Amino acid sequence: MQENNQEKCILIYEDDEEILFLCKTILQKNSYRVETMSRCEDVIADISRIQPHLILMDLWIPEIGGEQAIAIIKENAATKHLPVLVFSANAELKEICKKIGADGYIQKPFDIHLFKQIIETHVLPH
Amino acid sequence: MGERTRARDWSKTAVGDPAGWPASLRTTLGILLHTKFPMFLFWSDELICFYNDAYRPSLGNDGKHPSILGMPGKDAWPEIWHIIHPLIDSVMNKGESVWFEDRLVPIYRNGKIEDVYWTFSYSPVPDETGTVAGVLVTCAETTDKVSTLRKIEETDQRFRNTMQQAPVGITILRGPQYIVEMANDAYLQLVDRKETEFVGKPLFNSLPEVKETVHSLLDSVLDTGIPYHGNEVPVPLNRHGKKDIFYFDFLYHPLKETDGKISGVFVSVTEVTEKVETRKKIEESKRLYETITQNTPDLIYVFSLDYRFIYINEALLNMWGRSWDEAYGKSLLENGYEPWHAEMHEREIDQVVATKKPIRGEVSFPHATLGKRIYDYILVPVIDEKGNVEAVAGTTRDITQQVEARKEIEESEERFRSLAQTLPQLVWVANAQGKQEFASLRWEEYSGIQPSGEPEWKAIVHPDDYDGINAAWMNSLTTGSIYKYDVRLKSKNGEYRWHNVKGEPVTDKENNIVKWVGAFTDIHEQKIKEEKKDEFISIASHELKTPLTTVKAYLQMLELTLDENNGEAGLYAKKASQSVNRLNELISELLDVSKIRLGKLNYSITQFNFNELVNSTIEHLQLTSTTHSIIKSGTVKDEVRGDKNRLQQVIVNLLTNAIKYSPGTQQVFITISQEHDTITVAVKDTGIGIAKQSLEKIFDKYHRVEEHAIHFQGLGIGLFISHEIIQRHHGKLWAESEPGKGSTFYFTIPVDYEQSI
Repeated sequence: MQENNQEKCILIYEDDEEILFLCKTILQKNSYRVETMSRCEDVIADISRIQPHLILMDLWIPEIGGEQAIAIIKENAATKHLPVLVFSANAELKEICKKIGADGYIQKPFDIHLFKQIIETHVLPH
Repeated sequence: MGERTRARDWSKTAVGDPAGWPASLRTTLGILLHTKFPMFLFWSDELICFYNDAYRPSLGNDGKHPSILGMPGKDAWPEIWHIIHPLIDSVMNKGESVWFEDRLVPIYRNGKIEDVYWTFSYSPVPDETGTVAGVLVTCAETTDKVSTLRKIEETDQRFRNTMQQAPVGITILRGPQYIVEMANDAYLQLVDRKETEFVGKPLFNSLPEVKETVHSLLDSVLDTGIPYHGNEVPVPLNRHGKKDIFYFDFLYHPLKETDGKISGVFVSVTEVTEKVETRKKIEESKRLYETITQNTPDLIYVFSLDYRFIYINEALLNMWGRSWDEAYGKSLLENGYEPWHAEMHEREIDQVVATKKPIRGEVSFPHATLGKRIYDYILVPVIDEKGNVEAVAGTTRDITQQVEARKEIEESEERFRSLAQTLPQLVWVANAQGKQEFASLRWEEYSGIQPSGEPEWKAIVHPDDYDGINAAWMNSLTTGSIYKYDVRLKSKNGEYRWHNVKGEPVTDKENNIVKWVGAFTDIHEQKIKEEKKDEFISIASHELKTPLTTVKAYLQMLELTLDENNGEAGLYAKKASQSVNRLNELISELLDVSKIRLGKLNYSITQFNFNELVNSTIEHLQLTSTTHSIIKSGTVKDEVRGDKNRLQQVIVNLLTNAIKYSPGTQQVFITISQEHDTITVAVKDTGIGIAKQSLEKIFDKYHRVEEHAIHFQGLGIGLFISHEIIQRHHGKLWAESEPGKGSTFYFTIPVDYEQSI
């Protein structure tokens, strides 16, 4: 499993350094390559540069916010296949996820087993 | 005639010169000329004519006199010769006299042929030889007598015809049996009998039904000879196949013989049934109108065209304090009207007469006992058959009370208006159908628009709030519930400011809504403050959750890192994790409570399987509970419409509380059931229970969270949220408990809360 994940890249948009560090730790322990962005300005450029297999998108991320960023990804033919998980402490996350067309959601705070499971479910195969 | 006879030149006639006349002729002529009785003589074979003075009138003027004297009979009487010649011949041949009475023998006289009646005899006059030589006619003209008799006969016939054809029923009854001697057509029709069955028979054999009514009357006429006059006498009759009472006017007149004895009764009858019935009807409706006009509190009267009262009802007489006799036929002035008032009505009467149209007015004057009153009156023309105004009828109503009540209402309305105008709120009044009746001046001051209709309203209300407030208003209009809504209204500067509307129905005595009164209050500052607070709580809870996320994850990683050798440390890590979870719940609940207060808790309504929801919730909870088993019983049959997550939140809350407050026991119970469209969920524990006074307080005061902070402490703020959620599903949440024995929390919800409204 770890061998498999070595090839896979998770791109995390999160402005809180502590959470970025935590997620990076958990995912790297599971052999994912992790790229992090604390700002969200040009998602298409980021994606073409990093070539992630999954994006974890904080809802309240500067500058454009998670909702708009997801819209941009899903409207672009080159990126719309990419799984995007919305990531927030918002109580209505499930409904928001549906509304903005994200592929899944991770509610903060999270159980690390659940966290890993959701990512594993959604991450693109090679 | 003697002179004429002597003067006549007879030589050229058949009798020749008088000197040669036989004695028989001379004698006969002597008698003839001297008698005063009309006589005529035919003499000799040629029947030469002689006549006397008495006969002359029969020849009239411009007729045969005097030319026929000495003329042969056939030349003298050519017009009747065919009648008299055979008679004369017969007398001459047989020598016997003939006699005729009232015989028509028309003769030429007075310039024309006239029908002349005669009573006459033709007698033979023998000459000296005993041979009949002449015929002596002794005659009397009876034309006058005959024509008189004729006239009498004709009159009699005419009378009988008249009787027969009279439109009045006539019958003649004879003797004590009242045998019908005659009955005319009208009579037969009246009694619906045939002449053949009726005439010649006793009256009461043919008409037994009238016996009781008329027998004694007829008897009295027959006995006393005094005529009887019946007027509108009701008589039972079997007529045209049915028995009914009919009304007749009749005369019984005694028929007296020449000796004065009464032999019968002449009866003439006219039927007056229709007249009587019509009159009865008129009398009846007159009685009806009398009853109405005499008992109404309204004043009813009629003026003649010279302004005199020709009808005054009881109410008006009472008002004047006068009797009918005192008031009838009197003028307005005479009945106590003041001159201005009398003149006014007289002018109005003139106008009604001239225009043939009613006049309505209002007038105030003093009543005999009630003091000054206000009256509403109407004067209408009474039109006769020819279309002329024959009188003017009037009705007057005392409207003092109505006018005063109206004034009072107007004054109170005015007070309300001035009050409404001074209020800082935007005040409005609408009718029961929702149509606006009043909007205070503040509306225009605030919005620059008078909200008089739908387009104006649409211009004032924020587009996002428009549908919502209209739905709320329609809901209140249909249900009669209080109208409450927060809405943004546009000021004349173009700024939308939050307003809270509150409107209440105004009901009448029967509890019918008559209008709605309400006001929009500017709550903008307050609303903004609340929004800021809400935003603050929202941000704060989010911010709190960020470090909580890392704490929770690291603790979990710590737990995973620690092996069995670090048992104590592992336990601490686990406890820390539990506290972090609790902290997370509290932060979530805090956010929920804040939203409930603002009415902003969002619900996401779907249709779902309630059994599955309960099962998965139990399964999930069972994973985290090591101390208790959750025992479930019952199922529901229908799918439920509602917010699945929120309902799950309630079940979790109740089960968590049950576990939490039953330490030392191993089981908690959940029972679900459905009855009709209602689902009941009961969560039971056998734990410490709740004291009665606390139980009451919990459920009495769920509305304001501040007051409940104390009671919820321990039970958890979650119960308050659960209560809100169940209420929003139009359900109920309650508890039964006994200290030391445990508690049962129940909630019910309708299968489809949207339809249960």
